[in-house]
Amino acid sequence: MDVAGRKRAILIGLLGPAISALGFAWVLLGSATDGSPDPATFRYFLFSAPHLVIGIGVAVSFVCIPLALDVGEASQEDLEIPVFEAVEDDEEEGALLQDPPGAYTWLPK
Amino acid sequence: MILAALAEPAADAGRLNFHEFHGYIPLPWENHRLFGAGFLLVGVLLLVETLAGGVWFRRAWRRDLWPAVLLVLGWGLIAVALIDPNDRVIHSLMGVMMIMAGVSERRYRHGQATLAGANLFVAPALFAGGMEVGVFHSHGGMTSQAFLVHSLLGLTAMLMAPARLYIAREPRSPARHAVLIVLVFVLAFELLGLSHGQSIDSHPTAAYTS
Repeated sequence: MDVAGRKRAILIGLLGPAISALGFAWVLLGSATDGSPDPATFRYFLFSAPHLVIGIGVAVSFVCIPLALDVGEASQEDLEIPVFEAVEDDEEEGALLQDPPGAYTWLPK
Repeated sequence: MILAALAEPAADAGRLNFHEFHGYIPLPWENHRLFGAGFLLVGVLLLVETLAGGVWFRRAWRRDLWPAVLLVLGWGLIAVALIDPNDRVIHSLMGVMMIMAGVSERRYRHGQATLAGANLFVAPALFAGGMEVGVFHSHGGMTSQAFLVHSLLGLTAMLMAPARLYIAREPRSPARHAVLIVLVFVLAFELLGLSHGQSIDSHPTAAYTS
């Protein structure tokens, strides 16, 4: 296993729990400093910033933990950022115009 | 019959005043937090995309995630144009720009367009998105909290357009991707953390009543 890949895998795998931990810390900080908290309604939990951050952390974990396993096993080449350049029309036409192997080639005398 | 049932609440919404109308859809500061959570998710996924490199693009849904975000934002703006009677033309135009950006980004990721070609649509859409947040959604006086917060949000979003062009000059550079990712995180935490202020009453409520 590649060391750089392993480090990236650990980072990716820990992102979701780290975000949820940030949300929990925000909840604790808010409850420690807010003298008159809002009533605990469903709407409050749905739209309160720290609870949303905890939810995002959970969602990120679902995406990132399986990905981290793939990244841990990947080679350095696989971890490079790909560039999806379109095939130029000229190149495509050039490829089509090329003679197949073994084709008869006419040469002027 | 189904259409009639769907149309009934929409017709009722037109007869409700602004505050009652917002019993159905989130209040402005609730929208800020929802969008903040959305941008936090997008920022994290962009970070993971950069860290995972080619591994990220092994799955088709991951490849199409960023174009899908642009498409959802675009259709969201079209929905806003249908619901909100203010700035209807601007919202519609920006929605169309976002949708075109999403389509061109998807074409790039499927090898059907160049990055420069995709940026012709994506960079203006990001800039227009910043204008939408910073200019057209700024209500209240120049010194009001809502105006200042929206201006800051708009400026952060507009900076994503040059950041995207910066990436295009060297698309394999993680450092260049990091600039855009940091801007998305800044926007997310501005939306989540900054207080919107009580600007709801500065809306022209007459537009929401029959």
